[in-house]
Amino acid sequence: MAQVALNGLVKRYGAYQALHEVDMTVEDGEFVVLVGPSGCGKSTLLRMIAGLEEISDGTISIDGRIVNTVRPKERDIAMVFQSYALYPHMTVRKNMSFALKLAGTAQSEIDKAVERAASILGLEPLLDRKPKQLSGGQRQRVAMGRAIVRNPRVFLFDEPLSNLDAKLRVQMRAEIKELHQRLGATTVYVTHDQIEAMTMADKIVVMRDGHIEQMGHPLDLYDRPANRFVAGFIGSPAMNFIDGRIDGSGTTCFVASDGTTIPISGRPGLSKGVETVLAIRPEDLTIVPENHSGAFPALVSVVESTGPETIVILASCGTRLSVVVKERSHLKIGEKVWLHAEPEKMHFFESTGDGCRMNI
Amino acid sequence: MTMRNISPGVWFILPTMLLLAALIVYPMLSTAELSVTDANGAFAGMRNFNVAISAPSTRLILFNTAYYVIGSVVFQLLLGILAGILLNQHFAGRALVRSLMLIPWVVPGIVAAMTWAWMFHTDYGIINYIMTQVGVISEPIGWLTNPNTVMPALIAVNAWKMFPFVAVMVLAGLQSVPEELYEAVRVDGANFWHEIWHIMLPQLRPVLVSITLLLTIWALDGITIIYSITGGGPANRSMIFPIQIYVQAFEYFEFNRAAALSVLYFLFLSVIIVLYMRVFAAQEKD
Amino acid sequence: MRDRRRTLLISLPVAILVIVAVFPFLWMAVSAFKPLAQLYTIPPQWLPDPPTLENFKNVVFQSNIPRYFINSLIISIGSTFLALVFAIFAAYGFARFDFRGRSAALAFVLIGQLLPTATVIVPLYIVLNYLGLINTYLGLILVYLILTLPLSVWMLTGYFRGIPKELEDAAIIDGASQLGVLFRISLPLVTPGIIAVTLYSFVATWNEFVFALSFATEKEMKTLPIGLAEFSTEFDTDWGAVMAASFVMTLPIALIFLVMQRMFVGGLMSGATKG
Repeated sequence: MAQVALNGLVKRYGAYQALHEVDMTVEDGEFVVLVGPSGCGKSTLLRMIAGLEEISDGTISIDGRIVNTVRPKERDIAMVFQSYALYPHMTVRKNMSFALKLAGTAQSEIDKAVERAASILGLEPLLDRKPKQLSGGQRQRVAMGRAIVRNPRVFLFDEPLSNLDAKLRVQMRAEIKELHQRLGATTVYVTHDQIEAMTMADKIVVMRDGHIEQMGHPLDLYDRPANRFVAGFIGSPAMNFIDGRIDGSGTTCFVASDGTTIPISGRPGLSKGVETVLAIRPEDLTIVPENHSGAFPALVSVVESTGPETIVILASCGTRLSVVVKERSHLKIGEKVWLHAEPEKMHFFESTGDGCRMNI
Repeated sequence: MTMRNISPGVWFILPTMLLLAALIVYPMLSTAELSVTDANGAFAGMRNFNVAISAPSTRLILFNTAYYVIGSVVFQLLLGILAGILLNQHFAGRALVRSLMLIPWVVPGIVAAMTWAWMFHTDYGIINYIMTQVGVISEPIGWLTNPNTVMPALIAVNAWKMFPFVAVMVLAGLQSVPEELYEAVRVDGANFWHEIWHIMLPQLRPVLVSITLLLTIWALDGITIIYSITGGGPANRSMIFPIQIYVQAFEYFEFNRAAALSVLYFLFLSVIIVLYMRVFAAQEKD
Repeated sequence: MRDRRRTLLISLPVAILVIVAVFPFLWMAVSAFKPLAQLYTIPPQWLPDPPTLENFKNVVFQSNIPRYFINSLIISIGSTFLALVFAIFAAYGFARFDFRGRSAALAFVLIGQLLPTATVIVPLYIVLNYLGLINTYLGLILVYLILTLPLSVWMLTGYFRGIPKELEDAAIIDGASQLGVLFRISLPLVTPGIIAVTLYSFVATWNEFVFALSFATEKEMKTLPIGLAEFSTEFDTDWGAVMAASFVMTLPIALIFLVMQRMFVGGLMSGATKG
C-alpha cells in the first residue's frame, strides 16, 4: 500500500492552464474523492497520477519516490475508466489477465489471481464471455476485477458509475466502498456527483477551475464549507443563499435585500453595515407559527413530495428558498408561512470575490 | 530538439511520408526540372513550354479536354442524382437493384472500355442495331470513327462508369435526412417534387459540391477509357491533355516537352485540388 | 389505387436504371460465349446458340492472358500488402498522436490520393529506368504504392479514430508499450478496416492502366488491362476473345464484390467521402 503526494502540480495545454499548483496528499489506505463540475481538472489530475498525462510543473510522488517520468506500468497503479474500457476482442478472463501476462507473470499465478478476483466480485460464471455479452453492471465489475487482479499500490477510478442507471449506481457505490474496506487499498476516485463523494470518501477534495477549493472529511465540508462554491456544491437540495447586510438596532440582525429582517443573536463578530451572504441548508429551515421569535415570512410556491420527505420552495427575502420537511405537508401554493433557523446553523460568506467563509 | 522530445506519432508516420516523398515529391520536382531543360540537360528556359503550347493541336486538345470533363461531370451528376433519389424510394427488390446498379463502378475501367467499344461497333454493334430498329437513326453511325460522335460516345462511357458512385453518395446523403423532415413537409402539403426541391437538394448540397470537384479531377485523369478505345483519334478529335503527355513521352520520346505539359497540367489541377481540400476541410469541421 | 399508380411510376425508371447498369455487362458475357459466326451477324444475334467456350480456349491457350493474369495477381497482392504494412503504422500515428505538422502531413497524403497519374509518369519512368526497375514486378509494385498507400492511410486513420482512447489508456496502464497497444488492442479491433482497405487496394491496382502501359512494356511483365487493350488493334480485333478476356478479368473483382458487398460499399463510401 502506498501514500501519494502531489506538490505544486501544474498542467498546461499551450497557453491554457488546466491545473494551478495543486498540493494534496493521499494517505496510505485512504479513500479520496475528487469532486467538482466538469472541466474543473479532476480527471486531468487523475490521469497525471496514472501517468497518462505529462506533468507541466511540480511533482507527484508515490511512497516518497518522485514518479514524474516513471511510465504508467512502473507506477504500480490500476485504473477503472468511465467507459470501463474493456478490450472487446478478449474474454473476461483475458481482460483480467492481460496486465499480468504483459508483466510476464507465470500462467499458474495468473489463473490464481484471476480466480481470486473473480470470486471476490462474483464473476466466476462470466469468465469466458466477451464484454459485449455483459450487462452494464457486470462490465463495471469486470473493470474492477481487472484492477484488483494486479494487486496494485494505488487504485484510480475515473467516474466509474456515471454510465449506470440510478439504482445500479447506488448498489455499485456500496460494493466499491465494501471492496475498499476489504482490500484497504489507497484509492483516488473522481466523480462529479457530490452524493457519491459524501457517501464514499474518507476525504473529499472539491475542485473548480484547476484549483482545490477545499479538502477534508465529508461532514466537515458539509458543516463548515470554506466558501460559497463548496457550500453550494455539497448537499442536496442545494444550500439557500440570501444577499443582504448586517444591521439592526439593539440586537444584531441580518437584513435581506428586500428588507426582511432575520435576527442572528448569538453570532457575535459580525460588525454592522457589512455586506454579506447568509446561507442556510434546506434541512436547517423550519416552518413555524407566526408568533415564533425570529420568524420571517415566506410564500409557498412549489411543494415536491418524494415520499419520505417534502421539499417546499418558497419566495422570501427577495429570492427562492427551499425547505426540507420530514412530515407530510398540507401546505397550499400561495399560502403565507413563517420560517425560522437557529443562528448557529447559519453560514456567512463574503458577498465579493470567491465568497470566502466569514471567520466567525 | 532531442530524440525524446519528438512525438511517437512522427516515428509512426515517418516511413510512409518518406516513401510518398520519394514517389510523389521527388518526381514532381524532377518534372519541373525536366520542363526547363533540353534533352541534354542544358537549361532551356521556357522553350519547352513555348513549343508545347504553340503546337497546332493545342487548341483542339484544350477544347477536347474541357468538352470531355464538363460533359462527363454533368451526365454523371444528372444520372447519379436521379438514380440516388430513385433508390431512396421504397419498392420491392430495392436491395437487389442497389447492388446491380453498382456493376458499372465495380467493372474494371478497361473492361468497360472494351465492352462499350464492341457495343459501339459500326457494323456489328448492338447500339446501332437498336437505334436503327427503333428509328432514331436511319443508318448505322461510325460512333468511334466519326469526328462528331466520338466525344459524345466517350462521354457516355465515362458517365455510365461513374454514375453509381454519385448515386451511392447521394443515397447516403439522403439517408441521413431524418424521416420526420419528409413527414413535416408532407403534413404541410408538399408533393414529391417539392420534397426533391426543398428537402433533398438542399440537404445534398455539401455532398454534391465535393463530389463535383472529385469527378472533375477524375475526368481530367481519364486516360484509360479514351486511350484504349480510340487512342485519341480520329485525327486528334478525342485527344485530351493527359493522353498528350503520355504520347509525347512514350511515343515521341520528347520527355522535356512532356514534362512541360505535366507542369501546366499540374498547375491547373492544383487549383481544383486546393478547392476540394478547402471544401473538405470545411465539411470535416461540422 | 394511389399505390398502384405509384408502383408503376417507380417501376419504369427502376427498370430503365437496371437495364442501363447491367446491359453492357450482360452483353459482354453473352458475346464471350458466342462462336465467331454469331458475333458478326447483321442483325446481331441476342443469345449464343449454342454457347461455346471457343473464345475462352483462345484466351487461355493461344494468348498471353494467363501470364498477364499471374503478373497482375503478383503485382496487386504485392502492392496491396506493402501499402497495408506502411499504412498501419502511419494511420495509427495520424489517428492517435498530435504533433507539429500533423495536418500538413495528412493534407499531403490527401493530395497524393488525388494526384492524377499523368503528372508523374515521365519522371517516374526516368527514375525506374535509372534503378533498372522498368519491366520488373518490384518496379510496378512500388509505383502502385502511389495508388494504394494514400488511400490505405486515409481509410485506416478513420478506422483507428473510431477506437475509444480509453481502451488504449487502459492497455498502457496494464503495462503495454506503444507498439503493444497497436498490435494487441487496436489492430485486432480494426479488422473490418483492414479487410476493406485490402479489397480496395487490390481492386485499384488490378484495374490500373496508365502506369502499367508506361512501365511494363515487355511481354513477360504486362498486366491484364494492357493485355486486354492489346487484343484490339486498329484493323483486326477478335471481339470474342476480348469479351472472354474481359470476363476473366472481371471475375476476381465480381467474386470479391459478391462475398463482401456490404464492406465494399462501406469502403467505397469512407474512401470516397474522405477524399
